Amino acid sequence: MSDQRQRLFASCATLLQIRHAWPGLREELADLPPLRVAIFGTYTVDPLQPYLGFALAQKGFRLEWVPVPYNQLYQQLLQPDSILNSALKTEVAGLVVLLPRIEELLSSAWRQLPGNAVGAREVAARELDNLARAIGTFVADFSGLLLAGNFARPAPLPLGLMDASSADGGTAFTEWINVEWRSRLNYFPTVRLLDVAGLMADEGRRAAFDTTRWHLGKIPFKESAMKELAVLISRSAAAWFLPPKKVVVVDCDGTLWGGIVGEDGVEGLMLGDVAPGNAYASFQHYILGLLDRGFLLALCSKNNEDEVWSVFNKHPSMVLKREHFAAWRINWDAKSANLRQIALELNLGIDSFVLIDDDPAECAEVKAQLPEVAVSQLPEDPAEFVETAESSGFFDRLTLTHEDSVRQRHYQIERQRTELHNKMSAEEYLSSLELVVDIFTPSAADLARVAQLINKTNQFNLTTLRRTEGEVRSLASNPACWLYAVNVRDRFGDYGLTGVAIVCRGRDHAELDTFLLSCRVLGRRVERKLLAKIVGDCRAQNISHLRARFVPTSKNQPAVNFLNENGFTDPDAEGWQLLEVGTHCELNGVALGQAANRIDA
Amino acid sequence: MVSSSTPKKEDKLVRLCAGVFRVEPCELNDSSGPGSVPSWESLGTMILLSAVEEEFGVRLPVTVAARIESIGELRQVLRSRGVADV
Repeated sequence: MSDQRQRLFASCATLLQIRHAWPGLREELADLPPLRVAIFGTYTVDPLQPYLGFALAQKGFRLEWVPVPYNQLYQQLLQPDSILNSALKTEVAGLVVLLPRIEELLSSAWRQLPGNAVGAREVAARELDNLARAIGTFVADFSGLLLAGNFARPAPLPLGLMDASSADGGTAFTEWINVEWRSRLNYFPTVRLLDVAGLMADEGRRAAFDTTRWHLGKIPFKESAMKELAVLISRSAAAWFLPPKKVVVVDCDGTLWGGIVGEDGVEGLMLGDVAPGNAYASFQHYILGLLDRGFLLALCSKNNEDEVWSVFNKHPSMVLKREHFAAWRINWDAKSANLRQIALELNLGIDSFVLIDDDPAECAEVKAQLPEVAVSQLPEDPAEFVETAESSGFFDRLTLTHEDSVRQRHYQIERQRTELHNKMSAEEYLSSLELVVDIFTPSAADLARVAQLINKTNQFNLTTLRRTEGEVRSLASNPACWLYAVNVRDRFGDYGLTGVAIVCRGRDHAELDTFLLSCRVLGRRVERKLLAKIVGDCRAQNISHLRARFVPTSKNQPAVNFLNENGFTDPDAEGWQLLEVGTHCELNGVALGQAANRIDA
Repeated sequence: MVSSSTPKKEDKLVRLCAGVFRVEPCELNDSSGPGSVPSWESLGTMILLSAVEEEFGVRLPVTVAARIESIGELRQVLRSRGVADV
């Protein structure tokens, strides 16, 4: 290795230095043999690039990074023209790394724990089968190495403190998943497991272990870890010897959603698929999980009651529903007085109550008036709500409730590994998804999300026209413009509002002003369904043709062939492409104006 | 783009942003944001926030971090959280 390169490596001691050095380092490495690497997962993997490039350079390789869109495991593995299939099956040495997480890949199975552990394993086994078969299809003619990550245990755990003790918990589920995943992948000679779960555990071990103390005095852990172990023991003791908490009372504004409904209105609240609203949605999922752990839920909020219910009734991203709550007091009285009333109504001791509230003043009032109530005061950052509530220890239990225990049963693992080598086609995969696409006119409450998509979507975006939320709202009230929003769900879950189109109509033609889909739903033919709906509406309005143009950016390559592949003419001198609306009664197998929302692959 | 307060040459925050987004400090001012700096996209924001945490020791909650649209807004947020020299 050249001295210059040695010095360069030595100068990269910190993460920041590596990140800064990487773009320049590429040219320095021109003489090294290339290794083409595609990493794709159910989460964003881009931050790996500089560190991988640097680490590979030290091993004598020059990284050729192949960017792969996020959360497109099956499309990338199965579609013959995918980035993965076209970029990795060349004469350059290739490495494919697949990084799934339970949180995304197996989210619907995870959410069925612990109430339906058998069902959760059935759903998960089907998913692992499908993914292993897709990997089998890909590696059949791939000469490189495929590394597939295994699964780290998610947090929080469905059974909290007693999760590790239960066969129906997330701990047992994660262990089982990893055994199943390994046995499926062992079938393929060019596939190896990447021990992501072990790595994450080692990161924790490094923070907790102290080998010097071990050799000096047979003390394996640092003081900080000893303290945490003590807390865990004390929580277990408290859960066993003290009467359990039974009722979880939650506040609304600032707790279940960001903002104040009385000031911001339903549409102005922070709650949904994207930051910061997604942090509140995660917290609602956690609260819902407490219901499964045997707690009763109640609401206590200083608000006008009808305004709170309008959030429950109208906000599309509410996870919690009115029927989840056993009691509520939504008024302007002191919270302590309201908690007393809820206790009377439910006929439960006030000492079995936990209040979860973000407002320090409310928490202080309840602590002063009702010292027997446990209070979990939430921190400023909603991203930390779940961790704060769970580590409070108020939801710790070491025994199952009666309902849970009758559900508990000995579980015989039903193996569904049928012919791994049976190849799965892209068509088979799409039909196995049971995709449902809802196309609708966005309501006022949807427009913030619509504007967000317009401003964030880079890949499948025909024109990449950005608009402020105010501009979107005025378009929505303009009768010459049609706004479309798309909701997509499949048997694994709901992707939410993930597509937007804006059509502006002239006298006899209409123009596709905006047409975009979130990368989360690409590769599912949703775009054809949306176009078919627009064409159907044009026909109903006696519009003879639809015009559109593809405006290239550095990132919207995924949309480049969309118009050409769907019946539009070749671009004219200004780039406009036309679609004769009247002559197309069917687009690529999707009949126009059909009522059914299901796409048959 | 005209800035309300043109940063001084040795402006720490501008230098930090320039390093993260790989542009010259003189190309940035308080009104620079995702719309005017090409590499300032969602991943860039994430790296910027890590750098801010390392440099100023301030960790921003998701409610604040998700809404920062310019260097000037970031400066205001940091000042309101007790960072004096920014």
